Amino acid sequence: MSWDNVIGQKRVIEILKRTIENGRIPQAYIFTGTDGTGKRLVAKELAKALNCEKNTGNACNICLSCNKIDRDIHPDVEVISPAGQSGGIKIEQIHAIRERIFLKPLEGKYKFYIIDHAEGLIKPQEASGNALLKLLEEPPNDTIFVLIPTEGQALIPTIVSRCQKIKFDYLSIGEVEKVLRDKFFYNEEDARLSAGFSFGRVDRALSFKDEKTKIEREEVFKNLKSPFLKNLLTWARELSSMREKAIDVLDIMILYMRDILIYKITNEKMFLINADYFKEIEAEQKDTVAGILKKIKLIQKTKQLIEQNINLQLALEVMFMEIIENE
Amino acid sequence: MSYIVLARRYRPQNFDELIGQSHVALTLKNALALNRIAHAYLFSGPRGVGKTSAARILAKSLNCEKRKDNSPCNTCVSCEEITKGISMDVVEIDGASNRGIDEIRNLRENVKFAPVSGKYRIYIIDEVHMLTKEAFNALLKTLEEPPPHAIFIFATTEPYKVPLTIISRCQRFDFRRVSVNEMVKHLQYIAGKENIDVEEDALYLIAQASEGSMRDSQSLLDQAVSYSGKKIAKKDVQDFLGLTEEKLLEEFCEILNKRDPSGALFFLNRLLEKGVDLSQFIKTVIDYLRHILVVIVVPGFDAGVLSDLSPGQINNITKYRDIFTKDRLLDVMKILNETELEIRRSSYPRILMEMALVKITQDEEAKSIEHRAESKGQKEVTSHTCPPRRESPVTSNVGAGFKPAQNAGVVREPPKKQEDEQSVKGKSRLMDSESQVTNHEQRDTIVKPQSAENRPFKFYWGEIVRRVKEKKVMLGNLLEHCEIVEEKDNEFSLGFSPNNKFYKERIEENSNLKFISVVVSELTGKNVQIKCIIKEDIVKEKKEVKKEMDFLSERKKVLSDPVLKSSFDTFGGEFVEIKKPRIKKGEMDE
Repeated sequence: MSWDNVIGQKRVIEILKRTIENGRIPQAYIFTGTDGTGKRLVAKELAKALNCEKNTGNACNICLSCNKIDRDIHPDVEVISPAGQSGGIKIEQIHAIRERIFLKPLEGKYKFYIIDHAEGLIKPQEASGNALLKLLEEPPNDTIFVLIPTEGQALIPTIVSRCQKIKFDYLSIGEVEKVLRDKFFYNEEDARLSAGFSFGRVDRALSFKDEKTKIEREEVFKNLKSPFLKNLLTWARELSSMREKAIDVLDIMILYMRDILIYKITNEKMFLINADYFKEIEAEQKDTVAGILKKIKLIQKTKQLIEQNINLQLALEVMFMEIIENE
Repeated sequence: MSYIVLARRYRPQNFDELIGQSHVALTLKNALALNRIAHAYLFSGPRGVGKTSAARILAKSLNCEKRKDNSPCNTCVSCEEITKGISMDVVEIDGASNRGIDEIRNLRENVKFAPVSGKYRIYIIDEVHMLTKEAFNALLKTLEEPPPHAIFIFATTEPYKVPLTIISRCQRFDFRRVSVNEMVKHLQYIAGKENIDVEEDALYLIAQASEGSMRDSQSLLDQAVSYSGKKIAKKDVQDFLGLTEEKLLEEFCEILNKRDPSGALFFLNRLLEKGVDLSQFIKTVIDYLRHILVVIVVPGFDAGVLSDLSPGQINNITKYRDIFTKDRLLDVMKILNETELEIRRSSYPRILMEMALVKITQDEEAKSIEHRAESKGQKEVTSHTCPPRRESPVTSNVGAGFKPAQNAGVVREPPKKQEDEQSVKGKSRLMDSESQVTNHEQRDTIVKPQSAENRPFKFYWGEIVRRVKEKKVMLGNLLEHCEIVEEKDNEFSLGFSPNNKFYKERIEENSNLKFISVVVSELTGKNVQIKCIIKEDIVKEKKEVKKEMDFLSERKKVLSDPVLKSSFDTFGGEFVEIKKPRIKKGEMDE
């Protein structure tokens, strides 16, 4: 059954299911929420459910329509993504919709226009957002828009107000774990660790298993375990040629400090992100709460500075020195 | 299947149905009654408040065959055609799609033709702000003097993007946001019509979430119906809006009140298990705290102040009136606000939130240490960077509307009301001892947390200046250039930087010092002697150096003390200052 294909987002699916049951399907949806939480997946499932030949309010996954949507070849389900420069959706793309929108669906019951990266509608060099307004307000009855903006990118209020806004939640750690196991075939242990690292986003969880992240974490724990200024400065020099990596490393350092802080306050192993380094974290409890907060702040600041293109080596060195001083 | 959303089904069809726009409806109705129709209108205002609807209603009224009460009848052929959008005489143009000069030229061609059936030919240009500059300019001439049968109605959410030359040719109407109460009332009406059974609190939540836009509120109601059928409870609305339940907010306040960091972290974990969006959560909390703050701050609070809240919500909030203080709430809100900003551009919202929670639940003591260190740092900064005042006291007096009198320093009339016998006595005693001022005793002052009666004069300084200013603005302004540098039981010295020698001389003139001492005695009940010194006194300088040296050697001593050292390690903190029970005369204490 199709909705079961989606892990988590129970609230969202409940809303959509009930909408279909009650037969009150709005002309346009906006799916908002963090990336990596299943927005595109749900949009597709919605299209499947509404166009399914079995007509049960749920996709059968067997009929031709479901099949075609799964393979992205259904003529009535159109995904529009930015074609303009720097991620803008061109006004021509909207005009193309306008030409076809008053035609009946070719195969299914509804025409779906899924606008991916919908923030492209408001790129200043494109006038597509405003061109869409009139279509969004009073489209033909067999048309459903789904707008999917990337996280944090606001659309103009006039667009939002014409759509039903459905907010996608972060997945809980358990749900991410399940996604990793069921869809990406992780084993228990890996799934648990990656999920802890994910902050509710599947895409983030997937990055955890990269060889890169693994090495970076090893480095951080090795160097911070019993910090010597000399080692740290050598490390800073190494990192100074790799800006990207330096930023990743700072992120991991923050996670590490955070684990120490949280363990200190709660004495609870289940909150830890770096649960595989539990011993190291347990051993590092001599710092005060205020001290740890200060360090985290320091690392954050350094990260910010680095993103602003400051001398990398210098920034790292200063940070390490301050950390040592606070030990 | 043809389901039409509520917002479209309940589009207002006459002026009385426009919610919350009575100022527009009334003006337009009167214009119709007096037959003073402008040839161009500009409707501006936020989304979903009725601009397009008003434009259509106006078009209908103009062409209606049997207009009654200056509103369209909605039954005649013309009205029906316009409602269906098939009237030949009402041209609704989507300004965002037909934005070029060619479209406008086309329009100009057509304007001159007489209407087909009605009296007027009405051009409604929606989203007019999207027309190009050339298109606007091409429209100018037509707009200034259109043929008598043509009426233009522009609707836009962004009137500032419309050129002034266009605006000045139109009658402009600004549509308002719809208030929560009006919205709830209208939603109730719709719910009644649709046979929807909905709790009042649920409607309040919907209205609050729609930020003044009627259309938003209707589509939310739609969503609520899709979600829970014809019976809508408050809980359902919370669910599909992803709102934080009030229970959670109360729990949060409880944690805040108990200052329980561990509890806070468990609480956060639960939030995340539920998939709550942190940034949204913080906004809700800040809103909630803000309401509590209003309850605390507004004396004689009544529900009218928070008119956007439902009675139930207000009840809920008032119970915190005695639990939190203003300062605490402001602190918490400040931290949360910063965190919210950071979360928006961060890749690890959870950690930021955890840090914020730890910070706001830290106990007072830990915080006050931190705070003191901070404020000390700040103070140093300000005292270093504050430049001498730009305005001379005289000009600032002029600014304040006072005559720059030469003898402003003279006590013309002694302060009447509060001056009691005691202070008069004080004054005379003061005069007696004036000659002894320089001859002060070498007595040590005990520096301890001060009791109310025995606070240092420094503590009162701000108030003293204020009071002096009330009576003598000039003198008060002079006082802003100095500060108390030395004080003992019944005397203190005002220090001036060498640059401000002039002020010192002015203050020493006439009976200014006496006047100040009267004010001081009113405030503290003590008779004081005041003298003025220039801060750069060599003696003082030496003392400063000595103090600095002492501080350093003391610091060394303290830090080498094993007990203190281990307490530093345990509790954290940094070395700020040394307080001794007794210090030598002339050394200042904070």
